[in-house]
Amino acid sequence: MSNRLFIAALALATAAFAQEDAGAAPVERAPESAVVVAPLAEAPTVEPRFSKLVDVTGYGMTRTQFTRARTWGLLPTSDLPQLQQLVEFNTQVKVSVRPRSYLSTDISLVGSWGGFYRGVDADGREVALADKASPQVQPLVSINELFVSHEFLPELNLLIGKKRIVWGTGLAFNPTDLLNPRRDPTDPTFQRSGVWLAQVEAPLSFATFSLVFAPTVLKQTAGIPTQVLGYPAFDQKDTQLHYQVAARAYALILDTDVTLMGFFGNRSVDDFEAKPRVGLALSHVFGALEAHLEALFQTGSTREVLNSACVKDVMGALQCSIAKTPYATKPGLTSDELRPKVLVGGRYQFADDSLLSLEYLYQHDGWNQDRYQDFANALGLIPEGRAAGVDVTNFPGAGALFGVASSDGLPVRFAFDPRGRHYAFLTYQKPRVFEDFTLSAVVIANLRDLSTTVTPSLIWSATDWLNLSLLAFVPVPGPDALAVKTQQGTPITEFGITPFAFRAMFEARAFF
Amino acid sequence: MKTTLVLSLLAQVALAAEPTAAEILAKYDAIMGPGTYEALAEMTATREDGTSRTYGMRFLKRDTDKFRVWFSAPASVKGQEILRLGDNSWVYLPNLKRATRIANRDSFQGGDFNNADVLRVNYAADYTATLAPSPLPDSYAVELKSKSAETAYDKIRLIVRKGDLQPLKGEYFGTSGQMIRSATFTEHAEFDKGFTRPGRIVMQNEVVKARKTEMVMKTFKLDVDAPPQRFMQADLGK
Repeated sequence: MSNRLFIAALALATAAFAQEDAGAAPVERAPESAVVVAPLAEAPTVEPRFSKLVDVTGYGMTRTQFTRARTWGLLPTSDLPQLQQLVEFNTQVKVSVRPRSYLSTDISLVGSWGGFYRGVDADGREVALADKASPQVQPLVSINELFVSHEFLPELNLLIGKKRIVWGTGLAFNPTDLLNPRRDPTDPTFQRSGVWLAQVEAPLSFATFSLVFAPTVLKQTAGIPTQVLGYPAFDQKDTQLHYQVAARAYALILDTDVTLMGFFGNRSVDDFEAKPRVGLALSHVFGALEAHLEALFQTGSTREVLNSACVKDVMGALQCSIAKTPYATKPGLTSDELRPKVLVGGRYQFADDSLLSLEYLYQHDGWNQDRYQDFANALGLIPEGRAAGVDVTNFPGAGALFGVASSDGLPVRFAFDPRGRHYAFLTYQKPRVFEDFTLSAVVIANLRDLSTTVTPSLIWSATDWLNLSLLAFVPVPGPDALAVKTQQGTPITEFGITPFAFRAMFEARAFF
Repeated sequence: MKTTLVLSLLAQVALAAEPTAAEILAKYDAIMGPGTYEALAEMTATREDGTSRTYGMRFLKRDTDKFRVWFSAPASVKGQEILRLGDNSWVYLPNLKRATRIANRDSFQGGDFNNADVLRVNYAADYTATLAPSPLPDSYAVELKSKSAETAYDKIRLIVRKGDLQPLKGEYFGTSGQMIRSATFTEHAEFDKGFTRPGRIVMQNEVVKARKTEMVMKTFKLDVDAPPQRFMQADLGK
């Protein structure tokens, strides 16, 4: 045997011995040379697999809210409780029915009480109103999600039930979300409700494809749907089917989330009939900066605009009333003009983990200066209508400012319905201002009149399971120079005419 | 007979040759981030006031660049998920019912680990290594220099013990040259057949000395079933 072969054999034998030695020992023997810094350890006991048959989580939440009604403003406050107490009990259950099937629920029981209503008398003086059962204080069951999912193949799964599916990349607002109840941008965690749908999804190695059919819920009672897709013969408001079909293709291309969306809806989230729409969403991270774009492309618009002739003065209003001319119409409903909605934004994470997010929203069909002037003219008619005993609560376009219930019944503190063309959303969040305190602020600005809503909050994670929050909600009118004015000269800006001066709330949320 | 003894000694010397920096780095990656595994872990973050928060989580890793985390505790974060795919990471927040992109520099659940410390253990790809004198006996030290500005740290000094190259200590530096974190790796144990790794990692915040975060591995199983669909953005929240 040559020396080389002998050395190789020795080396192999030594290596094999070393391996055998290591394999024979269930618990590591640290080399003697390392005993100072590497103590011996027993191998941890093997625990059962993580996945459970039933997984239950949830929270209880109580929110005490004080709203100062702006009885001196133009919008009526008679449906606005100044004091409101909201209690929510939420439970989320996930049941693994079979290895590839599961049932998931996210259900809230919401109880609320409201009182201390304020309004004005015929002389315009503030008066206390009797408590009433306004839409904001109705108890309800909110089925946020309730669905069954089954994976036929790793590359093909089916989901049926109610689920919130968001494909867009926007943080405060999602122009491409044509399915779900709109989120409150100042309170995004409160709106988790989805829609009833069936989804087929194919997650392939290079892309994910999804197809969704969502029949529209036409009627519901306390959050429980009672009429879906079409109206019955005995209550035939129309003969059409109400639905939204949505498809998307998602791929990670050059480290960028790329989502293409296609929609076809018929009198679903709006009055469009047989309407195709296309969406695009992108997101990319540059170091500590996440940048995103979300766009919806459609022809026409369902935006409601006021008839200038009907709102210019009292005489015009009377003439329209006599001639039965509608005060508000949707002139863009059948238009072929391209009306995109585009949101671009970024989110920057600082070294101390604080986060700054800035987004800009453009809506081609948003109101221009003339449309806002019509709105101001109409607002100027409210005091006269009120004096004449006309109910002005359902004034076109004003509903969004009342803090009304969202479309699935959940009370929201701010129903954001952007009517203008240019908006900015600014969010700043600083965790650990003190150990468990998080400070944040959300500012929403109409960039035409520079009116804003400012929502500062302080959240204390008192324990692992309890969060206590103080929040405020302050609408700030823009400068008079940018405002449109009523016939009486009152300046009108979008967030300057909210029916409340401010809101303050205390919230306690206990998780289990 | 003499010749045989000499040859044997030569062979032993050859086997005991010092490993290169690249070999140490490759071994570190193989220990801390093996190809495919599933693990249960508990992370305890100690804050400046002495109080602590404990998080339970499950890890699933596939290949070198696919990583998934499911949080199981405490109740306030239960249901949160993280996905890492190559240089891209997403977090799924059950309250929002959606996933959003996160940067690699973000701290992992507000503790002293960076997301990259937990989600991306592939130092050989991210850093260039050179041998350095070790301050501990019977150990090697390597200094790692970031290859790009995208990494969580500008420089890392790793100390591994001789013999099996198990990590003992890590020191992590920012671009200013200041040490911002240091890690101690202890309780080395055989978690799976023939696979030994540290069972406890304590990450000390060197900027705020009262802060530290401890990661304890409860289980660590290699070569588990990890279908590629679990590493897709569409799977988050399911």
